[in-house]
Amino acid sequence: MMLNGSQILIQSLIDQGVDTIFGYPGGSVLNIYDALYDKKEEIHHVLTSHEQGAAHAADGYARSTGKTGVCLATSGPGATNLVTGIATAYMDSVPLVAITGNVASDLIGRDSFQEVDIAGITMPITKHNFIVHDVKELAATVRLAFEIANSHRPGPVLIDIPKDITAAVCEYEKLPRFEKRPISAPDEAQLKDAVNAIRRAKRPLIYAGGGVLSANACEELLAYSKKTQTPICCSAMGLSSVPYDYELYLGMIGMHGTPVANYATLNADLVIAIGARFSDRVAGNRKKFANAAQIIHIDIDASEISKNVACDTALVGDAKQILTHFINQVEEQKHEEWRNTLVDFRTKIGLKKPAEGDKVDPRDFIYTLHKLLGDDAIIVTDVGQHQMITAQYYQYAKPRSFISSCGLGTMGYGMGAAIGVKTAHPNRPVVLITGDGSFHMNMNEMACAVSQNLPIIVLVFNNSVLGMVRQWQTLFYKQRYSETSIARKTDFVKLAEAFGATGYRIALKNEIEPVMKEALSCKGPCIIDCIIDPDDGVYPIIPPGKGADEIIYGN
Amino acid sequence: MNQKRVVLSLLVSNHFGVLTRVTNLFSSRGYNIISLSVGETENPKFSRITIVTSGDEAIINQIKLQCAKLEDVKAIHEIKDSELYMREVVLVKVKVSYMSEDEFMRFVEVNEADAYRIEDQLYMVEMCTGTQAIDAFIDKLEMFEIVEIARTGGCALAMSATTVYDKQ
Repeated sequence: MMLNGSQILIQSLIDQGVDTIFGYPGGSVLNIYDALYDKKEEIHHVLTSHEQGAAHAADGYARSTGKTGVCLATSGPGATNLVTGIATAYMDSVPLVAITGNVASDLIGRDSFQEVDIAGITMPITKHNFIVHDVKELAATVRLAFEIANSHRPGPVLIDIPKDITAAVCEYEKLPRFEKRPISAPDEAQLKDAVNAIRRAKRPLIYAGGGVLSANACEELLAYSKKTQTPICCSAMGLSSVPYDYELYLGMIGMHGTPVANYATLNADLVIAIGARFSDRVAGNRKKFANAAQIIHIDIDASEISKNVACDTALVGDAKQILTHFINQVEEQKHEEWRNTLVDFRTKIGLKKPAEGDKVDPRDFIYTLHKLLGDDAIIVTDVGQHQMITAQYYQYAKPRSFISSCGLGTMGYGMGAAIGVKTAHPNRPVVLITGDGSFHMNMNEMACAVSQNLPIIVLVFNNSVLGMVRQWQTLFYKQRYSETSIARKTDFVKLAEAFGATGYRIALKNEIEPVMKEALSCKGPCIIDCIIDPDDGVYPIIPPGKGADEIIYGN
Repeated sequence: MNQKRVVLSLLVSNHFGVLTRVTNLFSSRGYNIISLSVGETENPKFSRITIVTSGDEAIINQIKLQCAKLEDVKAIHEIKDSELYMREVVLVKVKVSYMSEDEFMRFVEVNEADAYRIEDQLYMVEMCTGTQAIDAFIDKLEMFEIVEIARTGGCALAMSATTVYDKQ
């Protein structure tokens, strides 16, 4: 069958299993959008307000489903607008295929209108990228892009297609669906060492990261933990891999982690890190992290082993397989003393208690939110205090129910991501928890949410300041509040109405439940403007560069 | 930890942009490049990049593992010091005012280099040998007036049956 490059691109996407893409048209992708016009029934295109929103939407779609997110943008500014979204996906290992048009081959290198070297720009923030020089290579390139994005440690791949290639015609042959590349088995000797270390351990601790979710190893994680009575803490990326009500779940680890999770790292004699990378937000002081413990590091990416914190046993491979091996090899264990120590500590020093009084404390709002939303809900966040409070207090029930930019810390991520999540899960409640700072960055995507008729609840914790930065100014900059008191005049209720959505305001605790119930019954998106205290801080905090023993509880 | 100097031989896909990907990785992660050379191999599908770098053991290990993740890098061979055979080329344009042509040509010959007279007192001097010998020879040439220097990075193979293909 003779097809042009645009038809080949769209057909190849369909052949690779794509049914949803997020994008924005423009001059260099006119041919591609023309081909899409014929395939509207097979590919649902979500028109965002801005290409950044499209990249975040594809990312949210991918995180919440485990499938590949796809976004499409034109050359030049369209392509550069994707960059923050691609970098966000790269830092959090999200499988993404970004497609950009470029100017025609004979215009490349001439500073043509809307020309940019997007392959050069995205080199350090993609697993790999392609410029398609020949229409005959297009279908194979698309398939390879999906293979790379999904194999081993997932990540974004960009395909840049000059406009003449989207018009060039060639014979099209359907290629099979991509397959993930095989994962090699971990080293036998290291596996034995790991099993022995587990048998010897008196105070073991699991530190679970996003790799557990990527490997679909949540069930195995829980089964292993139950069999060996090993407590689990999660990095922000690992949140929702363990259900909140699991008795051995200690919560988040690191800078704003729970007191007990950080206490456990100081006292454990064995830390099993699974699909986690010991980032500076977990191991602020790399030299001091879990000093008393032997460390077993399980990761699919060999370059993560001893990158930040040196480990004693390295298991490079599939977390699901390795955990299954452990479950089969290790006998049942009981660590009652260790367990009692942790329970005792948690009883004495827990997370900060919500404030008394009529005003809204985001802590008990988020803590009780789960009851209103149910186990099916997916929580999306932006970046800042609201993100950390959500990470600390929300009761995650199911895997992939916490969608947040953890590595890059992209303010403005949430609105696009929520669109991607709701598009993928139309029947599950999706709540974007954001702040007035983050929401102002990309609230233009409300227009998209309204057009797509996506009932997303946007909960804006409005303190009129850039709370997280302000908190650091309080703690580390002598309360010199440089440019963090934003005090915008935006009326979020009117804003919601202007977008064609519904707006609510919550100022007092007793308004939470009735408003949330109404919001949940909304047919389209809504914004809840929730007024909170600008001086509230996120605690505990381990100051940057410090060890878990230097934690500030703040209560 | 102890810094060591390491020679890495990378077998990479032979298409444009690959060198940029490798050097980008070094700069974005703060790794050191002491010298670098690139050229085609006996197989037109592959090029070989020879990188001389330095770092402690953990950094060298990271460099190898990070490079290995690049889609275009097919194999990485760290050539052991005991097996290292490395050569680089230097061209020096030099002005010789106080030696005759014969005297200068003898000086060059004694130093196992080659020279060609360009015009009057201006010579092109060429040497292909190990890095340290080239450094020492350039020091000697300082007694004349060095006009300009062009120097390649090191290019290396293992003095053993081991090849980069064994590391694929």
